[in-house]
Amino acid sequence: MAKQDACAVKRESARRTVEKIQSADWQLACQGLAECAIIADVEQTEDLLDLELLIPALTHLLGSLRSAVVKETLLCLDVLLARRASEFKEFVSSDTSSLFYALLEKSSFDKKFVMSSARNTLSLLVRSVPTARLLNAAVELTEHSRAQFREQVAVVIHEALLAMEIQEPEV
Amino acid sequence: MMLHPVDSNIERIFKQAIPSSILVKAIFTLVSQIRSCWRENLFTKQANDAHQGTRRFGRLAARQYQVIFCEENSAETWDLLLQQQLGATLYLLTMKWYRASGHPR
Repeated sequence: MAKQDACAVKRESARRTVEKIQSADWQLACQGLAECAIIADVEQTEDLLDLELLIPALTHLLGSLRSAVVKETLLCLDVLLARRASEFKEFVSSDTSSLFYALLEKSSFDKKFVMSSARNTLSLLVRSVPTARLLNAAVELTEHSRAQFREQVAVVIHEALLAMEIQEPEV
Repeated sequence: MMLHPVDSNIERIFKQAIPSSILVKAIFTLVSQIRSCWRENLFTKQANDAHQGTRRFGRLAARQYQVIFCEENSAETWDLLLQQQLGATLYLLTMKWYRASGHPR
């Protein structure tokens, strides 16, 4: 009974964390992101954080003009990628609203320290997602109008090809 | 860019028929041969992009692609493919940066 109660408390706490992340208040969002990283890191129960709900919210926050929010979002994504890498393939596509596209944008056009963090996260994503899926998304972006964006696409393709031999043939 | 239907069919058949991870590398090499759209993108768009950084990483990627391809194919086949797919001007340009970066050819 006590175990069930503890589970319910954790679930409620995770739900509130996602609500904070979705909040319009940037300070509350930052607090939610920090909590989310802790939950993802400490609690190994996967159903506490629903990635289908969480990743679109994080992708939205990556577009924030506040560097603190973006940095916190990238840290949160790093933890999620370290813990639940296999679930990220759904979020890689050439669509402008995808996490992959948002990370390419941040890696190519922002303040230096934000770009550096975004490149690390993008690299983690490249190593987490099946190469074929990643390449299919990346080749569609090779004609982007911004040169720095195209450069990041080239980096991603290079990293994906380097990782090609050690991954599962999954699309 | 959409995957050619034949590409995805072959991939599906392979995934169904040979799930063993021992054959992963071989299947992947085969799939990578089929994906001519990737090759085309690397050589015509990235490796010869107007932006220097894109060109640099595009060429590194093209070289890596060649390494993967040549694990199962001869260098002559690779050369023939480039000649067929790139057209005369782009082929000459490619050979130029291949030689400039110490490529054996």
